[in-house]
Amino acid sequence: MKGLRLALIPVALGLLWVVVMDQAQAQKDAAPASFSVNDCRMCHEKPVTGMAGTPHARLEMKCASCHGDPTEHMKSEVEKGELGPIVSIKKMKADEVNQTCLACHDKARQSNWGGGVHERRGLSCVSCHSVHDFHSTQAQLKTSRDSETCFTCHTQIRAKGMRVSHHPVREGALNCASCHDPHDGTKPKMISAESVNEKCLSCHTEKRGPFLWEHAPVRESCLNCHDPHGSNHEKLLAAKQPYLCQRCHLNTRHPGTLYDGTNTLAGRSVTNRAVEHACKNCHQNVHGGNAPSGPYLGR
Amino acid sequence: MTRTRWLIFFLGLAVSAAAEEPPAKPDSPASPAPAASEMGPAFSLRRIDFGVQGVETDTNSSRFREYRDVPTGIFIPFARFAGDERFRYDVTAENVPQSAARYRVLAELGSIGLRAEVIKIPHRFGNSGVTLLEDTGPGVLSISPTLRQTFQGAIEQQFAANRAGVNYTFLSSLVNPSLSAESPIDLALLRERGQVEVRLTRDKPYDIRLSYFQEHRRGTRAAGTSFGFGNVVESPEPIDYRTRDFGATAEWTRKSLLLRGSFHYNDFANKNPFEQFDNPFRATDSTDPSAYTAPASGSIGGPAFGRESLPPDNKSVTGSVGFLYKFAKRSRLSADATLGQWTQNDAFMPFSTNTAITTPVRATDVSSLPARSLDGKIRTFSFSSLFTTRPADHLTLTARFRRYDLRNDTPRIAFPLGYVRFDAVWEDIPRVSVPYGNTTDAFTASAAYDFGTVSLEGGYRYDKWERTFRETESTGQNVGFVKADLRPSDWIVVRGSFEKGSRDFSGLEIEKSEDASFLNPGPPSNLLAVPSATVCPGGTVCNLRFDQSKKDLDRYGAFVELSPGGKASLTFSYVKGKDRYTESLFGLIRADNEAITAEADYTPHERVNVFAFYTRENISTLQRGRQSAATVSVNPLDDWTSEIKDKVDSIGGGATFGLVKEKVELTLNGNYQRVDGNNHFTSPVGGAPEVARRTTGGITDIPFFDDTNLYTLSAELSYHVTKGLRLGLGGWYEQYKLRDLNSNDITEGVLLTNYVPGSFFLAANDHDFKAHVLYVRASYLW
Repeated sequence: MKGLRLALIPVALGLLWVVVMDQAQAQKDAAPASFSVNDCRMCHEKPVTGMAGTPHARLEMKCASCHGDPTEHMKSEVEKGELGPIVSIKKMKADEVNQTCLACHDKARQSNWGGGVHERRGLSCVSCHSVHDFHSTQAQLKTSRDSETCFTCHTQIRAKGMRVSHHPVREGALNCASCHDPHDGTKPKMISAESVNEKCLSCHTEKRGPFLWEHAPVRESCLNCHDPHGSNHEKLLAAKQPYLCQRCHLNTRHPGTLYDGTNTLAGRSVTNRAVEHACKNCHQNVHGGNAPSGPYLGR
Repeated sequence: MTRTRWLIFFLGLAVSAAAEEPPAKPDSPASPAPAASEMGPAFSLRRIDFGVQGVETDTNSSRFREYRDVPTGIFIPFARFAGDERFRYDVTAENVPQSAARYRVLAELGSIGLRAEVIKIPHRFGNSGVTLLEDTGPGVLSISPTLRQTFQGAIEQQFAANRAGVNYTFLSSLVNPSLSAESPIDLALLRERGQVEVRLTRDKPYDIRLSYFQEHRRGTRAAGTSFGFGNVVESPEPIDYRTRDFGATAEWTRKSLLLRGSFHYNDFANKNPFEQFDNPFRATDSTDPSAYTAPASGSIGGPAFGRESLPPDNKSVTGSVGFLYKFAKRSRLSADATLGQWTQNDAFMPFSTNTAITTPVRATDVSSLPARSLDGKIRTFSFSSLFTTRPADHLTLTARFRRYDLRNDTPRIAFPLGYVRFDAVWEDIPRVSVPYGNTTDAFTASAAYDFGTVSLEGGYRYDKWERTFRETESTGQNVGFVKADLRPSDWIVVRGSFEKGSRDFSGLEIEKSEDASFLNPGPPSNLLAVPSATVCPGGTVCNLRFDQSKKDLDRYGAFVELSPGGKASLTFSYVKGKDRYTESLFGLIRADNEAITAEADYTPHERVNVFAFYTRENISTLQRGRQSAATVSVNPLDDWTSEIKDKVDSIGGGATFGLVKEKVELTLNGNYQRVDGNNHFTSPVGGAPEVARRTTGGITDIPFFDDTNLYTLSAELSYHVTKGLRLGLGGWYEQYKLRDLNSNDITEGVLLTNYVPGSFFLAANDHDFKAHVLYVRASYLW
């Protein structure tokens, strides 16, 4: 209950703010004068063509939706031969870009952008997305796959993704957004679920249970044993068996025994506790088992 | 406040806000907007990529096609049909009609939006595995009764003549002729997923969506099925899973307020509730106290077949409500609460398959069980709230709180008479099931100030875990962090971050976790459950598991991006993480990781682009154990350490050259990763581990712990025949090599034998390969 009371802190802070501060002032966009997209296209053929077929192309105010009233911009070009004022996304600071986009997109997943780590580290919507020149089939990303976008900053994750044991991200069957929501500032590590386990269980539903015989670290966090970004050990394990299991199971007899090079297939004293699936050769139901005779998860 | 009150609070807030006034109409432009036709003619796109491909591999390793198809012959990697003539639609197909395909449909009809996807994901675990087991029915894997009777007879004869003669040499000569006559099997899984989402109120201030998801997983995977210490029979576990999910989400926006809610019903069904597998060495049931070690000099008993539970059917129901409120000073307050319930009540299988076990109960009879099913129930509750504001122009304050409560209401089921070990022998050890649960709280507060060129952020994070049935009542972790971003010019970005924290525990009862599953707990059998005073120096708690023990953590990060002139960019990044289990002498003691990356991208002109990256990772862990016999050793000479060090080099690069402007293009790409892993062991002279190895070469390191090499090189020359037609000629080469602990005697992808001491292994090939692929393809747009 103490923790729950802690929940009141940000809620109370926010409500206090509502009382103290003025209501947000509705910012009314300057109404654009009449213009034709073809006027824009004369100089900006590639960007205009690039957004064809996208929801942006069907906005009521077309280019003016983001770039403001182009009248003076065009007038100056025609009359003086020099560029007149226009709202340029390229010249905006990240925060200004975000405000422009969120004017329409502040809903659904994007509604949790504010306060998230990506916002706080100065990223903007156009760090990842492009309105005019996108390469992905979904979400108008600047790269063909979302992982390529994420890896520009998360380079260590790219290296992990090249490991032998991996989720099918590099094959394109999954992507970073399968597990993370880069817009959501409310969740740790931007996981798109209520917990790490709930995210994993959304695909690995067979491991949800509850089981007759549970395994405590499994119930608490899949990350106790797995590295979902990639691993050099089977099943994305964070370490190789039996050493992974021996981080906790130092029991009498076989669990606490040393398994070294002597016990491998090339060694002089081969044991089935160190080769192939090691501990899992017998304790297969390590995620939980439902057999009455399975307290050691072997049935 | 109870959960119900919380929900009432949020629902009340939502209803009162919704009742204030009807949603305002969106502002309409003051002047006539351009007509749709001004964007040009109605958008229409037709594209199809197709080609012919040849593939050559030197082995049948499954690794090459693990998650993908690489077809020989005609292939269609991509097709798309999109337009907005009458309504907007977008249909794409990838890898038609392979087993790793994706089909996607997007359509917008008035206020209705439709998004549908079908995706097939293969997972090939290994090829050409060898087993005596054959699939003879749902979940049933059998071996010829004649063969088993022959093996049993031969073993009984040897046991009668000379017990010590029932050893690996004898057994392998017995089984190898049969193994070599078996037909190989491939182990693979296919996920077939379909999902559809209907958006009922597109472009409205309220958004209602309905969704349906279905997945069918089928195939086999290697499973460790065992009859005891000396008779592991790895089997191809049958997989036939179906998952369905029905969902509904709603969101309503009114100026500064956003309300949202969702509901999901998820159902998992397994067609095979258990796997039944024959014992190669027995055709009839028998039992004796050492049967779990058979076949060996101590026993040749055991069951004729074993049975293992497979994942039971389960269901989950989840509902959530939340709101976001935006107000002055760019302030946002959001809160979401989610309630969930997971249930499972599949029928239990009997204690055992072994008809010879009749005391204290008839083990094959389900009526002997204390319960017929689990009636398992887990309730989850999560609450997350975020408040962020900008009280001054350049100052951002953020606070976040999350609670996740997993309350396991599954009843504890006692087995007062014990259970059956490996279907071989009754164990008179009364046990009771343990429904683990936990509650986590996380609070983060940070302040960021933007000075212009430099922005700084500092903050604090607190994480608390409360666990049931574990050694500690709770652990608390305090972390402070600072981050800095420096942008001295348009082309320089420098980021730095540092975190430092520590974790402590409270309410220690070190035997509690081990004792929890025993009705009559005896002396601890795990070193990590022994009273600390027995094994730890100086009053410390040196034998607490790593997820609860005292810990110091440090995280460093640096990132530099230079992009002078807009044609080139250089990026350097460095991250380091250190976890120190400060008082731990046993289990995991230290875990470090470090990665340094250099990356360059150069585009001298529009027809040339070159990029390359290199990452070096150093990963290291240290753990200590203590070898014990029948009781936990208190002799430090029995200690051993394992220090694992992985050095990982990842290199990638590529180039695109426009050889003839808008006509001919050459694309080159390459990726390479090399892992050098070593496991270094120590153990004092005179201790049990060292003494046991005096005649076998002493304590031996594993220098090829997880050594792997994987590289891919590709090239494509493409020619734009017309604006809509592109032809490409390309190829790629891929090579993979593995040398690791678990399978170090594998030569060129073939295990020397499927029968090793104490185990039948499938030895399905997922190892070394070299592959060449050559293709010609066309991309046609119209």
